[in-house]
Amino acid sequence: MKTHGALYLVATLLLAAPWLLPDYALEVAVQALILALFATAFNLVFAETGLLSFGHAAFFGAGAYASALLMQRASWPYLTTLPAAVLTAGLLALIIGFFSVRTSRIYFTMLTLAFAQLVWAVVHKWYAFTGGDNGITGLHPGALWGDVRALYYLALALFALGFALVRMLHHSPFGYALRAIRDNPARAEAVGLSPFGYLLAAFSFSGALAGAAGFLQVAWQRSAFPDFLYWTKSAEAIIAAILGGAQALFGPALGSLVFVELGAFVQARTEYWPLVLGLVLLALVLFLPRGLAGLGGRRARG
Amino acid sequence: MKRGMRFLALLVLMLAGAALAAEPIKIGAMYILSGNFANYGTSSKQGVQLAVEKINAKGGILGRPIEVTFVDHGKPDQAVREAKRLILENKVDFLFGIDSSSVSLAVAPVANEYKVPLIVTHAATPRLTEMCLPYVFRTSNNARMDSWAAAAFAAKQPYKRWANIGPDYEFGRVSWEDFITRLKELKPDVEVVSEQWPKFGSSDYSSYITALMRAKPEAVFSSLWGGDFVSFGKQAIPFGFFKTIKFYVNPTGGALQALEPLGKNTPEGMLVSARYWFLYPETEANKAFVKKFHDKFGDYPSYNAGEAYEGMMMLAAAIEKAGSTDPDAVKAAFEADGGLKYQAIEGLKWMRPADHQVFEDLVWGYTKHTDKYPFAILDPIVVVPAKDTIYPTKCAK
Repeated sequence: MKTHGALYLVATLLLAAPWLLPDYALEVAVQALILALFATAFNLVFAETGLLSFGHAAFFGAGAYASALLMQRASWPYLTTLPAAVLTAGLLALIIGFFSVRTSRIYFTMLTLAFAQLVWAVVHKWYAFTGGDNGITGLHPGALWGDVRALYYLALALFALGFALVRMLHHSPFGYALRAIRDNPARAEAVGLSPFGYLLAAFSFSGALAGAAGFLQVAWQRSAFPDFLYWTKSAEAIIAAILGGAQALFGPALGSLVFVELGAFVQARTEYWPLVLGLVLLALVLFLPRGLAGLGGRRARG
Repeated sequence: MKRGMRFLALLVLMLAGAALAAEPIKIGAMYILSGNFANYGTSSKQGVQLAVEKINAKGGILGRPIEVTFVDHGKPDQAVREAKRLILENKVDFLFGIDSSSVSLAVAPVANEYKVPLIVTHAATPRLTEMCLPYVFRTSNNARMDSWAAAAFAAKQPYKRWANIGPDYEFGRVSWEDFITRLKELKPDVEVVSEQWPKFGSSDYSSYITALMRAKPEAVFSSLWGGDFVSFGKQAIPFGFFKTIKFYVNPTGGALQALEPLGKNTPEGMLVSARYWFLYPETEANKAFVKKFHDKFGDYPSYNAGEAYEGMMMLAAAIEKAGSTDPDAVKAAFEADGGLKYQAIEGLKWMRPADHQVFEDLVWGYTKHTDKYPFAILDPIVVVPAKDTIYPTKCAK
């Protein structure tokens, strides 16, 4: 009963935020929601299957570039590019996953990293199509979504949808199968579960969600840059997930909120922000090995 | 009674007027202040500080002091967030600065959307001003003008076998393309024998140096800059690279951030540019500026410090002319009468109304060692007149 009360409070606050927060705080909140969706997507693979993907930036970037290119070259209205962004990212995840999910642990991590860097290099150099390191700029999502309040609600809706789907998956037979494969692949196979199919499905779904986050980033930033596909972007999702607590469903979202707010706060105050940010994150990870969600005790596993 | 009221009203009005007049003009300056290229951002920041000190000592602009907030711009997504913070939270009247080309391309449309004029003092991609955004201005020259100037020099040389080395990203690619296209227009019989594209930020250039030397070029165009230029220079000397080629031309090679670390190792006779060079022109105004800068910061002003200083001064001139900080009034001031002409210490800066790109005489020179400085200086200096760098724009006016 008490958890329900807290849940309603959080939901009310999230819905009321545009009327409570000043403009700039709302801009940062949109960024936090985007990272929250991205990190939740990443964590679906990380927490349920135990595989650490270092290549999720590729899917974030694929979604962003699909949306950006359709807006720029085909003049599609912003919102209509969402399905394309999700599909492109999901398809790319299907391809990369096809080669990667067969491998395990460190090999999976290295392979996803290598694939993502490959995609980054293509986007970074293909001036004729992607604009190379000039990026794609001047992308205005139109009068409605150009307004930060509307964009906030769009980001909130997509995050809520993504979170609900991940939660549903977690509690579904599919989720149990994934965890069975994670904990004992040999035994899972013995009872008739095909790890390849399950892992590939989870990886592709996770990639598609990351694409939705990229789609949102384009509207917020009004541009797309190859940085979106660089390994540091993957690291942001990993840091957010670990910071918030990878074992809790809402851990990555919590971590994203802290990571984004902290980043904005520190960078505004000192040019030594990378040092300060690094030290704070280090301290948080050292003293909270189960992440911020670990503070809430066992109940936080939700 | 009525008279008393009138007097009171007048008094209130005067007070309000005084308060309004004293309200500072807020400017958000964005530069690279952390990481590998922090020495560029820091020296730009110093240029801005000096300009603001000078303006405020004279009572500000329109009786209002200037208040600058500096931020580290980071990568494009961080820069967009910081730009929004400066606009929405700090309520700045102008955005200013920017070192990185990709950051300038990301921030420009955002500044334009909020109708907060952006004045760029360093980022040099020609694409910035070719976006034709009404509230975006650049007060320094861009890479295309450097390339055209280099081509003008190259065309006067007897050499036909040319090679390129440049960082493998937009700036390097565009610089070479602009250079060689222009050179072939001026001198159709040149031939390209090698193109080398090391990754931006490389530390090992040996394979590129040997590849260049194998192709036996007579002349080399390079767009390496900053740390890349320093690493390349240090590694090329032992190979005897600079002795085997007859002519080496490198835009922005005259940056103090490149010449100071190379010190006495810098090869002599390289033709390099500095968008501003602290020993040029030899006027009292420039000497006073350099002295003041040196006294305050213990260093000579680099080209980007000079450009940041002049950018602030030119903005001040535009605001003065506009009579207000209203974005449309300032835009009109920059554009009116065939474009704002501002007499900078380094020479005349002309703002082209169509694309908001400044044109000015460009300072080039041949590297030479003297007893006076621990690094190479430009001697002799060769100046490319602004008119030789005026390229056509697609922006309509």
